[in-house]
Amino acid sequence: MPEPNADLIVDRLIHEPGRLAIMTLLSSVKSADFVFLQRTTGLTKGNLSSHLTKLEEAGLVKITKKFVHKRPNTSAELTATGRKRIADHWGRLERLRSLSESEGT
Amino acid sequence: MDRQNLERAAARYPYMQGLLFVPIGVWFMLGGLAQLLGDPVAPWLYVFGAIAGVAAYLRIGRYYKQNYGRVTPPRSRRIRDLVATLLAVPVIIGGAILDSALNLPLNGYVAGYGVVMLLYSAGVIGLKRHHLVIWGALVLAGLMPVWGATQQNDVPLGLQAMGLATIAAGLFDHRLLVRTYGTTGALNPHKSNAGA
Repeated sequence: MPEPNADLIVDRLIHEPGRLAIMTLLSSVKSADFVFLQRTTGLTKGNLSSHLTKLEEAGLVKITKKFVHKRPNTSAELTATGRKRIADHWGRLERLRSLSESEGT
Repeated sequence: MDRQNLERAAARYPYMQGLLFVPIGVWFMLGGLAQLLGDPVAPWLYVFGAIAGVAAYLRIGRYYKQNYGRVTPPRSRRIRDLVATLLAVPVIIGGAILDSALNLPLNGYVAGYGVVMLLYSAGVIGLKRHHLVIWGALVLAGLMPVWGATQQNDVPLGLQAMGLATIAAGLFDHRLLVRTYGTTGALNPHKSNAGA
């Protein structure tokens, strides 16, 4: 069996649709809070919390909790590693798509 | 999953909060009204407009944060916004100076403001039909050769036109935001523990 091309292996942690959406959203801003992420990803509160925790544990996302107008507010931002990983991941997906298109023709 | 749509959703959100433009538009209109009425009403209108405008702006900002969330644009975009704002001021003032110096029968700062807002909309949200209609109409209104005849009323009438256009564009931008991110009823984090 031939060795898989390491450059085309998808990042399983990021590839999960919920986490991919969170990482992609965060890649175009400095930070976004829980409410915005929940609204734009359509994830439930529990799912979003769980994904953010996994991403934080992997060192891809930094979570900040504070009180704003006496209400708890959680915001998330990508770490430098997170920014690199999501950019690499999308690059890999693009290469896979190009490869499948070129082999299909 | 569309990468570009997701990136745009986060990047454009801070600029789609159109209701924030309503107090700005009202402030323009009150400024125009104050100039028409003159003393002793004008100073009170300015003070009332400033206090009410700031209060409304903060309240609307809070409404967006509570219902749609907070997004902080990257530093590069904030610098770009600052530079764009600094460049916009001389365009509007330049239009007014040119109009006044050459005694042209048009309204230079109304046209200048329309051009600036067209460029702003194109840069931060992407030009939509309502931007073209509203800001395009304001540019055309400013360039119409009717302003010179009422020289003393050019500024107050111009401010009324700018105010109306700003309010209208803001309402349409807000409608765009609701269509993009959903109504407040679709997700009510205010009543949940979201963010806890």
